[in-house]
Amino acid sequence: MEFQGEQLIWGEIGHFSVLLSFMASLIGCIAFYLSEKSRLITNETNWYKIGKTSFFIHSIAVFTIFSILFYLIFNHRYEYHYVWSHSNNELPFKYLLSCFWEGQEGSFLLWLIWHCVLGVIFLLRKKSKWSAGVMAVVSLAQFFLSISLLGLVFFGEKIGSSPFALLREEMINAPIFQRADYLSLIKDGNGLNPLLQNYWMVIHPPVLFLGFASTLFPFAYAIIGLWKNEYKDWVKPVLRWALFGSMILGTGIIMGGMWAYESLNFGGYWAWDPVENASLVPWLVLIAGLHTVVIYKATGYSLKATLFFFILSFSLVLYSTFLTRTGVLGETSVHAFTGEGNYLGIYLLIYLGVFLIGGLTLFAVRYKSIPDHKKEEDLSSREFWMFIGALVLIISSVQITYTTSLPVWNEIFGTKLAITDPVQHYNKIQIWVAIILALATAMVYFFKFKKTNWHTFLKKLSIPFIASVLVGGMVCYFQKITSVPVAILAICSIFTIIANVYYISQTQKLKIAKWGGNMAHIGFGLMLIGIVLSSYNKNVISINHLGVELPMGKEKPEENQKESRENVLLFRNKPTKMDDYWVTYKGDTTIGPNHYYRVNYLRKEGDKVIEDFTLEPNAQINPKMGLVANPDTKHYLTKDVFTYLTTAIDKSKIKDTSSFKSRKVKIGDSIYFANGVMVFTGFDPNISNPLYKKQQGDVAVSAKLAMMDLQGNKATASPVYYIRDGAEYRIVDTMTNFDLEVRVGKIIPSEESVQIEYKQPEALNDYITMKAIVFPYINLLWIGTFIMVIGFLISLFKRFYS
Amino acid sequence: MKTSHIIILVVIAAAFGIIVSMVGDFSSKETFDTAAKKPSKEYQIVAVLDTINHSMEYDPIQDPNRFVFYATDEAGKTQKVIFTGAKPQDFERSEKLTMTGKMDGSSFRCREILMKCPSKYNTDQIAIGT
Repeated sequence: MEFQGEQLIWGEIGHFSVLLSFMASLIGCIAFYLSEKSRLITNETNWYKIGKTSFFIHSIAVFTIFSILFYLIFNHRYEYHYVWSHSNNELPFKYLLSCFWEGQEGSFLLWLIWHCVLGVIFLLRKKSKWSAGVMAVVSLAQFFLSISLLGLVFFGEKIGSSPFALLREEMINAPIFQRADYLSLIKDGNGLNPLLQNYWMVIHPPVLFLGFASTLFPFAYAIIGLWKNEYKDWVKPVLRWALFGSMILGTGIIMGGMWAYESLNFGGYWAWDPVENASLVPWLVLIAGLHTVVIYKATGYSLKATLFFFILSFSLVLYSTFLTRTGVLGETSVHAFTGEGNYLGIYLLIYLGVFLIGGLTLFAVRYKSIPDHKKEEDLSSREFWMFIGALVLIISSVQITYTTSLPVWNEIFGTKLAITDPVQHYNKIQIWVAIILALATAMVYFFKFKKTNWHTFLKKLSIPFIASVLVGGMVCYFQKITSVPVAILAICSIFTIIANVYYISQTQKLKIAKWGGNMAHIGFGLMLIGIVLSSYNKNVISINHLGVELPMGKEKPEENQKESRENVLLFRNKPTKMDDYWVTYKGDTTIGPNHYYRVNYLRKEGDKVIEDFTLEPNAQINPKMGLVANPDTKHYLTKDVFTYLTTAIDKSKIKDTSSFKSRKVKIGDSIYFANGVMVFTGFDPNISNPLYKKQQGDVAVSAKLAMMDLQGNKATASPVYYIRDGAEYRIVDTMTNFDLEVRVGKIIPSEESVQIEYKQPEALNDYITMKAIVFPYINLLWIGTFIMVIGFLISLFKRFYS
Repeated sequence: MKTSHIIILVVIAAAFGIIVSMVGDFSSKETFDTAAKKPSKEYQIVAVLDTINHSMEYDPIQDPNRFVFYATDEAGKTQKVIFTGAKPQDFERSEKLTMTGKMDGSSFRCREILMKCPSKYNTDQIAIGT
């Protein structure tokens, strides 16, 4: 059958490019390897040229794949499965790139591209004796990555999945594809997950993947160093790559945190989610390697550790891809990238196996001949304490990896282990890691390489130490930090900041080129104190005091306490007290697929307005994904007020659903309703309600209900209940100011109680439930990150130009 | 003994100590029946939402932090679950629930729910336009 309207040419060019990139990476790998192995200079250069050309061809092919895919997404060519799955007509231009990282093929493509960019830059620079070997490893990595895009069937097994697969090939059984004009029926694609439609999601994945990609180069240098068993003038380029990788990967991770904070609803920037951990661990190991390579450069110690860490770092990137992309995490992660099929797991395991086992084998073979000093590091030397810091990073990585891999252990050992409170679990161990690291980063510059005079060391450090204890103590006092480890961490992080600032002022002075390390450490200290303050005093202000069933002694008190009641209900135009604020839901606006809910925050002292701002948390009602909520945050210098919707009503579905609710009460019992409370104070035989016209033979009574709303306005309701000619009659008392109708349902004399029925009229049907959290001093975390990156940049600059 | 040996020993001891200290944080995935045997301990239970035989109750006007539903665990037992929080968006669409909480009498008191919704990869449905 001839299908109409398909543009198959792009797919064909795409497929060809996939094959070409695959073949070229293989040829490049072999050529670079032969160049490395050649003893004859002419052979070496010739093979190197072939390798270089192959890598360029490979890169051009990869860029072609990317461009075609972008073209297809841009033009909504829904005959292609990837385009149909990850985009739709409505998608704004700025989010077109996000389509690349929603799917597995797109993410691998992004990874391939960054390797190409870095590889091409590497090849364009001056050739060194490491070039051929490094590029052989890079090409091998590219060869494996290209496999994932092949989508070809070998021996009945489909290897990889092509981004150019056609919709009709992927969904072969759908009846629609019996028609030649099927494409004219497919008007729109599946769309992009609204959570990815956020500006952080446009820039965070590319940065993170660039970070992942840059771990390949220290790895390649480690391999080739081991291969040649030669480490002279090896350290200079390795150090640059390690600095670059640490900077980019660190930035990418924090950007991920910002994305989570800006657009996810867990209320924070870090949740120890497996996907977050999987990107954090390679970074920790890379940072460990960065420090040991500095040691090696300065003193000749720690070469073995450096090689080991760099091998590990890239392997851990592969392992995290395995964890996050294959669905093995299954039930433990909210980041769902599942359903990619079994082949992917096996493929990634082979990839990981080749690089990790290959690397470690080479490391083991060479171990004895890796140069090292006979003499031990001196206890007072800088290298000793830097090494300890690196080891602590590794211990931290082991712990995080161990727990994150629980689903893998379960798979292997057939167990069913789970962790019920991951945040608390990680925090209680990692806080000590952070404390040791903070101490180490505070003190390390005061040690000299080789040997330090303890007396001068203590003397120099005493000023920042005393200052830190004083400042830290004050911070703990004013921030009411009562937990001992948290207080220690707060003081230690301040120590890090002060000690490094002091070191700059005393030793480095205005030689800015030397500030790199200190700046990175100051940034680290600021990040830590930002994390401590924003999480320790994180305050959920939307505690719900209403609607809570009165504790009738049925529930255990500790259980009442534990229950989080963190969602608050807001009726339109009914101010509700939250912490220091009066919060009012003012109504909503619809822009495109997004509904913006205006929530006003007002803080007064007396009659003076201190704060008055409106947040617009939004919810996207997406026909495919349902309702997806995005938070909104008011940023102050010293705090953030974070707000998001937990439920919103679909206005189109509103009908008169309000009905009387009924509650049996005795004298003195209270009933909570949406915006206040009423207390049944007793009966009144003298009926004052003007709606009641007395007749002979009536048995009538009026219930007295003392009401109070949240602002403290008081009133008394007197609904009337009477029996006339053997029939029951009720007069509803409508309390307009309270938006409440109330009546007496039944009187039960035997129990001395009365059935009160009440109803919230229609106007109150417009409501939202939301959650609001105050994060104090969260800006310290972002500022710290920024300063840390500046520190890395200064160091990189120095390593290139001095 | 060389300093490096001491350090390595300390590191191994620390790593070992940490791993041992972590064991208490782990619990195994249970079913409603096994969780009921130790009502004081928190467990994770994997279950499927039951909307066929039971209905969900969530009335934010009454209490925005109380959501009641029924779920069937892997052993096939259906139990009432009380979640202290707002009803998660798209709860009806969930394929699988991982609930953290403890048994309390005849209901499971749950403080955290992780929902697995069908990802777009396996709900390949085509919307046909006219």
